[in-house]
Amino acid sequence: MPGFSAKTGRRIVMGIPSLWLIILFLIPFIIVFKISFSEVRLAMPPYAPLFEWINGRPAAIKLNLANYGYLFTDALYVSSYLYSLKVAAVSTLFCLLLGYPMAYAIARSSPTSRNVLLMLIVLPFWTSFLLRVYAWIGLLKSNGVFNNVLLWLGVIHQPITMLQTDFAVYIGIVYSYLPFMILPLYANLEKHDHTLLEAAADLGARPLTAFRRITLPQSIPGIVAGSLLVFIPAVGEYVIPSLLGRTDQLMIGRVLSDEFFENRDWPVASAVAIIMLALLVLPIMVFQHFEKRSLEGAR
Amino acid sequence: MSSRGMFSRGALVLGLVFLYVPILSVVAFSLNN
Repeated sequence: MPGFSAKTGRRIVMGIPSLWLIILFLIPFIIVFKISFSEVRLAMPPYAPLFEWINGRPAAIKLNLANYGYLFTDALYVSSYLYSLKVAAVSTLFCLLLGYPMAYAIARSSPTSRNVLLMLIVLPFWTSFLLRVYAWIGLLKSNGVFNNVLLWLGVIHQPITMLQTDFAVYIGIVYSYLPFMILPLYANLEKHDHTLLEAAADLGARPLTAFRRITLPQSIPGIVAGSLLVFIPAVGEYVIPSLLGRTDQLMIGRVLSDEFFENRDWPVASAVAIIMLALLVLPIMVFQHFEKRSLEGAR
Repeated sequence: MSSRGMFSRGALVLGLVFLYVPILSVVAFSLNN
């Protein structure tokens, strides 16, 4: 096309997602960040302005750091952050333990079976998310399917409490996020060169040794991608712990929601969101920094 | 089939059962009065 250079095309291609991120991530983030330094007040909106304007000019800035101090001194927030990180980490581990062999089996199946199996992985997620979580209530409750089956088999003599426990939250999160682990792992495992495993076997390596020394190291990018896709949304999960989880220990997503909608304390809620983002982004940035350095070292 | 192949296929079947049990239970519940 005349007058339409490759450079212009590149700028347009880069510009559209950048604009999307600026409008839908950066601007809302700046607004939330600003609110986190405000003072709460009974008004609409329920926070005091950060800048004091005199004659159309910002005359003073009122930064309220107490919202952040409050989060680190109140045991509710500290325990909620730690509990959320624990739940997300354990759920990610279970997703990996179940998702890795599943992705491996799909990657090793015939091309026709692969498409069918991938469709079977994705198909349950065409139904409503809420309906699937409610289905787990029906399965896990005291007079639910699992307890009835276990009683009928004689494994237990009285119903066991599965609902409103950590176990139910892990089940719900692993169930909801399993495809996010399987799909990046499959994308990685499918590209592996099978002849390497044959060569290892020819050289006398046992299957487990070949897996540990060839398949596993090559699949680390898939493991990292899948783990991040599960861990990040799991930390801020709201619906699953609210429906399946404990009532005496809240996850940070529930605390955030309560601060916004029950207490109408937008500044503290914004501070909760900013700290949650920092807890997620900083370790990922440090990890990427070290990964980049190790890759540069390998070259 | 190698033990590794059996393990991964077993995990695949288990995972698919895990994914479909809630859906099937909802279908079963919908048939109740």
